[in-house]
Amino acid sequence: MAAVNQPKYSKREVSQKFNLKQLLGYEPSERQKDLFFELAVNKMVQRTAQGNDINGKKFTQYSKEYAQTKGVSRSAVDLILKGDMLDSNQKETKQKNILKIKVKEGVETLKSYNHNVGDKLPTRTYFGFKNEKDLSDVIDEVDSRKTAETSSPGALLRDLALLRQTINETVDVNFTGFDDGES
Amino acid sequence: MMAKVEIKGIQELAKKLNRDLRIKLNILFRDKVLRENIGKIIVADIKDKVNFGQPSEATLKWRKRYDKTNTTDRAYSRGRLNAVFTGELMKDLASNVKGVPTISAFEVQNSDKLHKRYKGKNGSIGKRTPFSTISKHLIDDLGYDYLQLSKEAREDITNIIKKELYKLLR
Repeated sequence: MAAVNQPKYSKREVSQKFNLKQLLGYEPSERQKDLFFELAVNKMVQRTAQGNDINGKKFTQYSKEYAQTKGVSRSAVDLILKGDMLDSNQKETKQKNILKIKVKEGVETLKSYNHNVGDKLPTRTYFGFKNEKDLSDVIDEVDSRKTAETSSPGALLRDLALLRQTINETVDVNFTGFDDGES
Repeated sequence: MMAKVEIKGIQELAKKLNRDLRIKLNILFRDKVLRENIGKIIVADIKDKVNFGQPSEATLKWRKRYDKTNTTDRAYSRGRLNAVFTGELMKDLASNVKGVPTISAFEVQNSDKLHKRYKGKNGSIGKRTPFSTISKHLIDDLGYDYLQLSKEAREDITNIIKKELYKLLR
């Protein structure tokens, strides 16, 4: 198989296979497989949450009625209502060096299929990666953990005081289109 | 006429979070209560702080005639122009804050819904006009740009957003 297989979109399965041995140039450890899964899914979810499809293009706008119901602008397409579909990606490692990312079987797969191929909805292909190049940063990160211990993601958040401090230090709010009322 | 409240630093914050929480962040922008609270702060600030001075004689004459036959907003003052008469335009603005999760922002603008007709002594006058048209006319044609926000209101909005983020991520 190729290092990055084309995504599979069917009503029974939405998935994509990755040959980590080919991508890394050596046999991956279990820890690296886990990390690859976490980072690749994060990248896909992040891309979707920002309104971009597998090709990096903006999703088709929501209908006026749906946007109104959802409370967002028509262009703010993120395929997130409750977040169940984007949160339903699973890892499968039946073959030694192959990792498969697949959407949870059942309702989530059907929803994902409908979005990806535009079966009953406008086509919004969010699942998967086009090629190896799209995953270069993920591969670099996984490769860099060849020997190093991976830290637990979100470990920082266990400390609530630190969380509050992190939000205060990291997040800011910009106001555009408002006059300051002092001119 | 649109203004935006944009949350910066989400990407940096997201790097420290797992994907489950990241999905929740997008849901935050649709949070009805948060959007309404942002709208309330903005409109309260506009009503309190915006002042375009005294109305012209013609406007004053119109006001004298119609503020008796219409229910005016508490922030309305016959001798002060502040984009408030019945308060419908501001009510619409407050309730029309929309989330744009894809760019981590909230859009603030009047909707295309229709303003009620004013009441005259002998019944309703004028025609129903979209709030967005009224907004454009006030800002573009008359120069009454009521989309103003004081430093205090900006701080209030920043604080409620940070508070909601904390509640969401703790």
